[in-house]
Amino acid sequence: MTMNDFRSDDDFDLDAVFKAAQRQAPKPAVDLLARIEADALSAQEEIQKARAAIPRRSGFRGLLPAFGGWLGMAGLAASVVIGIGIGFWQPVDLGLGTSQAGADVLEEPFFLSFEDALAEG
Amino acid sequence: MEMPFDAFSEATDEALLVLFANGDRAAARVLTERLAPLAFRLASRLLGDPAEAEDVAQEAMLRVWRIAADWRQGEAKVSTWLYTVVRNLCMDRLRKRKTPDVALDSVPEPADNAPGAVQQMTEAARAEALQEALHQLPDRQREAVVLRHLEGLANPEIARILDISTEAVESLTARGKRALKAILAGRREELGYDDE
Repeated sequence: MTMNDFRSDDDFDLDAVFKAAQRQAPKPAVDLLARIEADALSAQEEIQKARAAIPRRSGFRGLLPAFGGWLGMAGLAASVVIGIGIGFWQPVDLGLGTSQAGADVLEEPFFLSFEDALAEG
Repeated sequence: MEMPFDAFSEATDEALLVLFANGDRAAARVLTERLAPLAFRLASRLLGDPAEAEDVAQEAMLRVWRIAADWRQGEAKVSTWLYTVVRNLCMDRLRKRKTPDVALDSVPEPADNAPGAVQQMTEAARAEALQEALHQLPDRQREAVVLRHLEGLANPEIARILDISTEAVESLTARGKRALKAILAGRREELGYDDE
């Protein structure tokens, strides 16, 4: 930045002034940094104390929060029961002809038997 | 386990905050060295008072320590969050001062300096002139200009800090720069730029 940088408002080189200000940025005193670090260590101690005060849960009670508490666990159990029920339930023919069509298809075995496979080479 | 001090040079602020919350004392020191200058610098520029800036920086850093255990990774940068806290603390103090923003028209013409002042004008003095000029801007313009041109933040980050749109940031910085030019150009002689 030379002495003649700023002849009018328009050509006023503000960026040069910003750069000067950046180089002259206010810096925190050593005392302040020490106070801030002391605050940090004291806050850190509080965090550790608070964490130590939380009772640790073990076994099933420890896992419970991961499933959303008792309500989540009840939902999960209900889903399991319903899933098993659906798995065992005999399908009902709705009379739409779909079950017969399926039966026709299934007259031909889907998988070859071991002997058939050998015979076909 | 405490990590060695040097091992932190590449660690992000967010990672250091997790280590801090887990009891790592070295992380506390590194975060202090990284973030406290930022907090103090911004507070100094917004308040123009080093003693008040120290109080704000200490208070803002205390909030960093207190939020460490609950910090949500990936949601925001620690530095952006800190800038926001510092800015809010500064605004509270400025409101309490109850001094209205000075309208540009009412700014008195600076007194003529003695001859030879040009030669003595140092970069520090120019930085001081900018600081004085910044304090003649409305609060929002000052915040936007400081964050953009002195702290070097991108407009979207400034928008998050000031809780305004990016377009509004652009408008504030443009108006702020125009006003600064008008103020500093008015002090051209005092600053020694019209000497020849």
